[in-house]
Amino acid sequence: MYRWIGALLASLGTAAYAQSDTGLYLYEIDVVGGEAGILAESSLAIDLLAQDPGRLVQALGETTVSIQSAGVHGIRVTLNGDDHFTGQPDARLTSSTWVVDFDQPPVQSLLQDLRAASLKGEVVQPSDVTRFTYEQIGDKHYRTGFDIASQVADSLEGDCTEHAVLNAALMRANGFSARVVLGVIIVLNEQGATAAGHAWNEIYHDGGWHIHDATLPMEDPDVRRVFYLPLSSLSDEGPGYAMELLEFAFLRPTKIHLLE
Amino acid sequence: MKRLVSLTCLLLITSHAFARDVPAEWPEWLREAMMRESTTNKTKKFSIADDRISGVVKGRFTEKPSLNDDYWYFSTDIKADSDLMCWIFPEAVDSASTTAGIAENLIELSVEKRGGDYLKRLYYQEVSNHEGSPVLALEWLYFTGPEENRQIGLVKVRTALVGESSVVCAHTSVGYRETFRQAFDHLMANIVVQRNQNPYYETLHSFSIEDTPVGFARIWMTEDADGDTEIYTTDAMLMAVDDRSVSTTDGWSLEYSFPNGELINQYTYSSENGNPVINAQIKYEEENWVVSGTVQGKELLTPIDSDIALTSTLGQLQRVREMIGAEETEPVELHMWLPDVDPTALSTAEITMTESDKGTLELGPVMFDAEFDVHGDLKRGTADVGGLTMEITKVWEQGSP
Repeated sequence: MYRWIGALLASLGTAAYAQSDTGLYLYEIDVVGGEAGILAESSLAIDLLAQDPGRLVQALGETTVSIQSAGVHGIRVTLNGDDHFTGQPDARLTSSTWVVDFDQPPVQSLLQDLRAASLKGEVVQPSDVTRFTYEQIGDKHYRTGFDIASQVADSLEGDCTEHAVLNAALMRANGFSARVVLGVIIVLNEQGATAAGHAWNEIYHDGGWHIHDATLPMEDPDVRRVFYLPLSSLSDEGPGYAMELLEFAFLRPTKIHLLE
Repeated sequence: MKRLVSLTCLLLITSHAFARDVPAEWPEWLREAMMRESTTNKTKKFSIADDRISGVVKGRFTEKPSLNDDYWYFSTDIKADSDLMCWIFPEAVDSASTTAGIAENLIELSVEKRGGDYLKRLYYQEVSNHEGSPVLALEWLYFTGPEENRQIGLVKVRTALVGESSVVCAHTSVGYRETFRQAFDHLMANIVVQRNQNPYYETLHSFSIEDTPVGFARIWMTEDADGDTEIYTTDAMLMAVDDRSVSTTDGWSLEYSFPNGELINQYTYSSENGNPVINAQIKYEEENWVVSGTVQGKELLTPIDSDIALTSTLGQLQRVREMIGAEETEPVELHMWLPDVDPTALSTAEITMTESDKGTLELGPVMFDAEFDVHGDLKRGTADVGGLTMEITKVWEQGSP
């Protein structure tokens, strides 16, 4: 009886990140105040309503996100556009793992293409890797749950999670410390704001952590600003990663209010 | 079929996955087309696969049953603009990926004929039960043809797992939704599939997320020659990931259990969107549980550093049955191999009874409010997962464990 319940939960966990536009996964979002004003701001103040605000506070305590206040139903935070997890890079974040398996032939093959594509004699830069990942994943869709890097390198398809794990693999293979981060992306454009579950990378270079989103949302001409709310940095990159993904479901805010 | 140009956007906005009723804002001609139905009293008998499968189908044959590779195909005229098409697989196929795959193939065939790109929108999804045979249904609206001559279609597919075989039927004209459903139900009511297995206990559970039916799990228990129990589980899920697409998950598992509910060994296969994910087994070797097989394309041969007794599906029922009606019970931990959760480790579920037949079932971070039946089986379970309500319901059983 419980094997298929485990399968159901694993599927739910891996599906929870799709940037889908169905009611199941789209965050309800209210914009309070003038949109034009929000677009001009360098930071974004938001109220997050959550099933378990305490858990959210705990998760955000490991990031640079500034928590303004916390209540029974939610918390108020300020995002500055490049919020990330704190902590120093360690050996794990440059290693090949079950999920970020850059030692596997499909990833190694892509790595050769990446190096061949870079200018002769020049060191591959993180921004080159991110763009390369974006361009390699030609079939962008939400049907895939959470494939590991070698599967993505083989199929070259998927959504944000597939972009993030492949990008992490190519980054690590080039010597950069790379995290796979799960959270919420808030996209501002002239028409308003949308928020969705999302996955991206934090890459350590130039003395600090930097966001690299291989879905390149800023390439969309309608998008004016993007803010990232990091909620979980995948720590279990072994074969049992599905349960950690499911735990993320309990961190997700159920509603987001943008404040002026 | 009526031409459609400027209405495409309106339809894209107002069509909605899982819709049962035709949206009121659609134009009258399309509402009428969507609501048209037909009836036919004609029926035809058929017998295929060396008489192992026989039945009665509505309509007259436009194509008599014929064997193609590993399936039989026939079509009938049910007076519904286009034929009822049916595929019968003597050996069961993956329900979810087959349902989605046939629907997508039919759309692509239509697009090839008419030319141009196409858009599709999920219109309806269903999981139902026909006397222990789980049925998945999917309907996709699609828009095809060049922009100046855009046309709309509705592909409807129903797939049933009948015994050890699969029955799939489809219809591609706009409307005739009830006509198609009744034709499929008629076939299901009249099909006879000889089984190799004769289970002493069969169950069917369905599950939904946010009241949307997404899948099923069917369990068969059979006694083998040694007096042990063979437990065969088949599950399938169709999850809408946006308003155009579904993700499919299919799986099956074969467990052997001692009569006391201890697992002897287990083999599990699962696939996502038709691609294998897990093809692995666990067995007890030299005082260790050992996992071998392929997971996500990688070979595994991993000892699990544990000699703990694992609980089979039969054992899960037995443990809960012992707790039902007991005056005081302590929470019970069940140790299992759940390869979808972690193929290289053992998992633990905890059951706590709060009333005689009610309690909680914890698995990882998820806690179900559970109601059990007299067999110790999950009658109903609900869990809130990050604001999403998941519900599991037992919809059918036969025999006793």
